[in-house]
Parts: sequence; structure tokens; C-alpha cells
Amino acid sequence: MPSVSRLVLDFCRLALSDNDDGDRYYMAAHELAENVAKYSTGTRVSLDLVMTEQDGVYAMKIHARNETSPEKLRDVAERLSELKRAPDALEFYDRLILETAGAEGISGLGLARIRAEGELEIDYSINGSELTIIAKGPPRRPTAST
Amino acid sequence: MSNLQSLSLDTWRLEPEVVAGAITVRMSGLGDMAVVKPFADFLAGLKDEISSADIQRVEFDVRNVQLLNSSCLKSIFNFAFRIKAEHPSCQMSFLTSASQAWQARALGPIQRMVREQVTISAA
Repeated sequence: MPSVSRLVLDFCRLALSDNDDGDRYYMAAHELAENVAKYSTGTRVSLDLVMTEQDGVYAMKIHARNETSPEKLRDVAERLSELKRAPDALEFYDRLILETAGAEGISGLGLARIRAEGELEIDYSINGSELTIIAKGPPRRPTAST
Repeated sequence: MSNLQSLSLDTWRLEPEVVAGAITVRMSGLGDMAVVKPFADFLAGLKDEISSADIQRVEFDVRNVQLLNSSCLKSIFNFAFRIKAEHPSCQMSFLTSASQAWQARALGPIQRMVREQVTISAA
């Protein structure tokens, strides 16, 4: 995992002119990578980082894909749906921290953290037993190529 | 005599120092899924030390931390909640790097939720 983290950080810092922007995507990619490692029940997993540009507007997209059980799919779909609907990302994250306080082991905070601290949109899709989670958003500062 | 021990793993290091009623913990490395359990155990020991030695101030120097995953963050949040409940006079401070703004952002929730006892500064 440290070598994957290093690759992600190097990519983010190469693609972005601002290290702090790189750190936002690095955090999001790392949380998604750990999610894939923790919840996957199959052998097909992937993590893709793509910098896109449309009409001069840049955005980083992180796709995390893995196969998991129907029970875990239902659980994560419910949590992702609630996270997407929450009008205030920071308030939702703080509430989740309080609700899960004391429970050790898996944090259950990673996706909410990506939205609140990383200021990234979260989306997801389910295809059979495959779950794809997407975190995306524009850099705060112009990219290195602009 | 402090019972707190340093923790040194491949990519994660915690160095506590107890001086005159205060504890400083220098943290460095990658706080990823490999270190979640030993980190939580360390914080449990730190909480015990605060209780037994009547510690009034704890400083976490996180300037050399490159990553804190949500599970490691949760351990810090839970530690702060326990200190708030059991030792309301104990102050907790976090020293972050001015060039690593993510560190203060990541710790932001405890400053919002344990406002009276937590300070976050950058150097």
C-alpha cells in the first residue's frame, strides 16, 4: 500500500501545480484504495486517476472498482445515497464522527471525509456484483499545463 | 516513571516524551491501514498515562506525518472525546506543518467538537 500511495501522490503532484490540491486527491485516492482492499470479495479490483479537461475546465476523477457481496453492496449503496443527499458535507461528516465514536476497527468515515475535507463530489454505480465509486472535482488552482 | 514506549514500524513512528506534567508525541510517516491497531493501542496507553500521572497537557507534533487515513483519524477523535469526558482540564494541542495544510484540515473536526481543550497551530 505505501508504494501505491507514493505513485498516487507523485501523479497528483505531476498533474497539478499546487501541492495542496495534490494532497486532496491523494487523500481521496488513498481512502478509496483502502475501501477496495477492505471490502472486496473478488479478485478484480482497480483504481484509476484521470485528469480531464472540457472547455478549459479541469477536473480530477478517481474511479475505484471492486466486486463485493450483495449484503455489502446494499450497505454501501445506502451509505453512499445518504452521503450524496446530505446538503451540508461538513455537518454530515461531523455527525458521523459523533455517531460512530467509540467503535474501534473500521472507521466508516472515509467516504464522508472525501466529500467534506476533500471537497469532492461522490458518485457511485452498481453493475451486478461490481461497485464503482467516483470522487471528482476541479483543482482549486490552475493545473501545471494551463 | 512513564510507561509510554516509542513505537517504530516500517513506515510509522511515534516518540513520546514526558516532561513536568506534559507529554509531547512526535509522529512521523504514513498513518495507513497497516498501523491502525498499534496506533489505537498507543493512544489507549497515552490515555492511561494521562490518568495515572495527572498530565495537564499533551502535544502532538504531526509535522512529519505524510498521511492519516480515516481510521487513524478516528482513533485521534476517540482519544480526544475520552480526554474531554475524563480529564476536562487536560489541554491537547496539535502542531502541524505550515506547508502541509491538509494536516490542519484533517484534524479540524476535533477542534470543532472539543473546542475548549484542543488547539491546532502551524509552524
